[in-house]
Amino acid sequence: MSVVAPPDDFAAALPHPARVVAMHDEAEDTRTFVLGLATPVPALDAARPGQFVMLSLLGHGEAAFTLAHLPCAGAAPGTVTLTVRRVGALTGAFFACEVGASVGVRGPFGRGFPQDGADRPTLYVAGGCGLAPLRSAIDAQLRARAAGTPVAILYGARTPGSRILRASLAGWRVQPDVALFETVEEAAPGWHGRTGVVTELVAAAVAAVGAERAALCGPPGMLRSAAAALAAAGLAPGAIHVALERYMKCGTGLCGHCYVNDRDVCSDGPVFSYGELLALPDAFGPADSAFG
Amino acid sequence: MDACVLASRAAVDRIRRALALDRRVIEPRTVEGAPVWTATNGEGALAWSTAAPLAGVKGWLVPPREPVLAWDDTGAMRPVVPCPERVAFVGLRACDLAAIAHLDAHFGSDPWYRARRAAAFLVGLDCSGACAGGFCLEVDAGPFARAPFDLNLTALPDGRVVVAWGSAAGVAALHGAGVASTPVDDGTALLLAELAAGAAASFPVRPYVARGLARMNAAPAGGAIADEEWQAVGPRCLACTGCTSLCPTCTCFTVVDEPVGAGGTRARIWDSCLLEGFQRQASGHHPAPRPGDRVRRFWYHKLSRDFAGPTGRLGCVGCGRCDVACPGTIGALGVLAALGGER
Repeated sequence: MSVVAPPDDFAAALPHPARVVAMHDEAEDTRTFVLGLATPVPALDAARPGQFVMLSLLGHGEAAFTLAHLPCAGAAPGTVTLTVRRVGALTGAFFACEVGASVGVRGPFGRGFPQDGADRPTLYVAGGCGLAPLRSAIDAQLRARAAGTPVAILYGARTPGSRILRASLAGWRVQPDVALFETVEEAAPGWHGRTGVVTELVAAAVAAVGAERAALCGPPGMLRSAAAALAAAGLAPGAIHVALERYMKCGTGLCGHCYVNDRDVCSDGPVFSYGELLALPDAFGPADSAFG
Repeated sequence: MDACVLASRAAVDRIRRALALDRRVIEPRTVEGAPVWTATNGEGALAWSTAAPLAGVKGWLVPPREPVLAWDDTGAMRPVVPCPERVAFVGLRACDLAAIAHLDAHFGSDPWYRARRAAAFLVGLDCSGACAGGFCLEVDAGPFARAPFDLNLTALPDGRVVVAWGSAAGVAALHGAGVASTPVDDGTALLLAELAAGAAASFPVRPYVARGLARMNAAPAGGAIADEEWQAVGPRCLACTGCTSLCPTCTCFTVVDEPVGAGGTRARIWDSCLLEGFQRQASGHHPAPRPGDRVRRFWYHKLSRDFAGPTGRLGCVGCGRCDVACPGTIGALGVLAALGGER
């Protein structure tokens, strides 16, 4: 501890300057932003599905968002794609940005989904905005898999109007060897699909593709019940990977906001195996939480 | 016995004055009846018997507000590089040194911390016995100091002092003060061992501490303590954050943007995991929605070996400051008494 940090260490902690280069609405209160980095950032181009960045809006602060599209899944290098739901002050300010607005990006941070296994039958389970972090994982596997490797995608939304990434859903639906299961909790006129929660479809989706592994992202209550359903369907806890969400202020394991038992979601996760989470009693919050 | 010499109290005062030549020397002095870290310039004699101040030195190493980034009216960003004053803390007790070891492990990768830490020279002072409310012995943090110190002082009953060094800077300080190298002989080493044993024996017998720690560390994590126990304790926390502010190992911070005109500053500010909003997410999900959840999480962080880190010691250093600060009864000893069945 006698070495004074060199000036480069301070500069390395700054956000990378970027601008909003494109945006489109996904659903009620949800929008995808494409950011163009001012200078190339090799680490961001090499980011893996499940990793996240800290988005910086000067004057408003920073918040963590998982990368929704990546070069390994077909995105253009030099870009950062975030699919964001407007829920608070910073996301409200982000939604007020126009194309050309200056922002900043730190990262990528954390441990993403496993990089191997593209040739194994896989089930992706997403709830609500949880589809965004899985998008690049799904696209990366579809690009890397051997022909004929079956993939199932199980997506549950609150209402038909809250479904996000509809272009991706439409593309996956017509891919060979991809089974797409969709459900909504509350149907609306014009919705002819399933009604219910994703957990009810887990066993059928596992059977449909002979899933050997799974990746999950969504609300904590859904993660808790879906992971348990996957384990009950025969998947090994170590083959079920769950992306957790937590409030974060630094992204680097220092601020303390995201710790779950003795682990930091930002640096030890955000992707954990279900086997790891079974040893972390606080992973999904209190079982009787009103928000569970 | 190595890495230490025998010196006189006058020699220790020469070291303090030598340190003051290029550092601000900060020592516990009694101010309005209470010990306070005070800039002394190394003047006068060391106040050997002054107790540890209620506020530790965390605020020098991890300031309550640390600017990290500034931007101008063009949106250009620059890091705010700290220029910390060179300081020497003289009279750090074992608990405070154990806490600094904890801070070193936690913030070792952080350039802001490293800059401040590198500017600090640490002189420990061993405790001759238990202080009121202190339980460093039970959490393996004292009363005799261990690394990290540059120098450490152990006062002998005959007026001599054993000065140990823990760094090259400490050795240089001894040389700079012209302290003669008088090796510690076997008799003095035996005396030191007797002093340490006497200091340990001075602690009150509190079997509930060991019982509480054992329950806290039973597998699975926290599983030996029923949720109902924590929910019963939780409402006793007023979320005043006195304990987390005074705790020498609390490291949590938030980050705020402070716009000024078209520019501004981004700063880290001390935060507290006992505040209701600490983990509440924008989505509405709250991992710790009840006071008992937050109290459990806080004490798990302090008293579980899951957080022992590279020193192998708990996040709690047994200084007892939280018991003093708590307007209720759930400082560390209060919680251990509850967990250990004392009340």
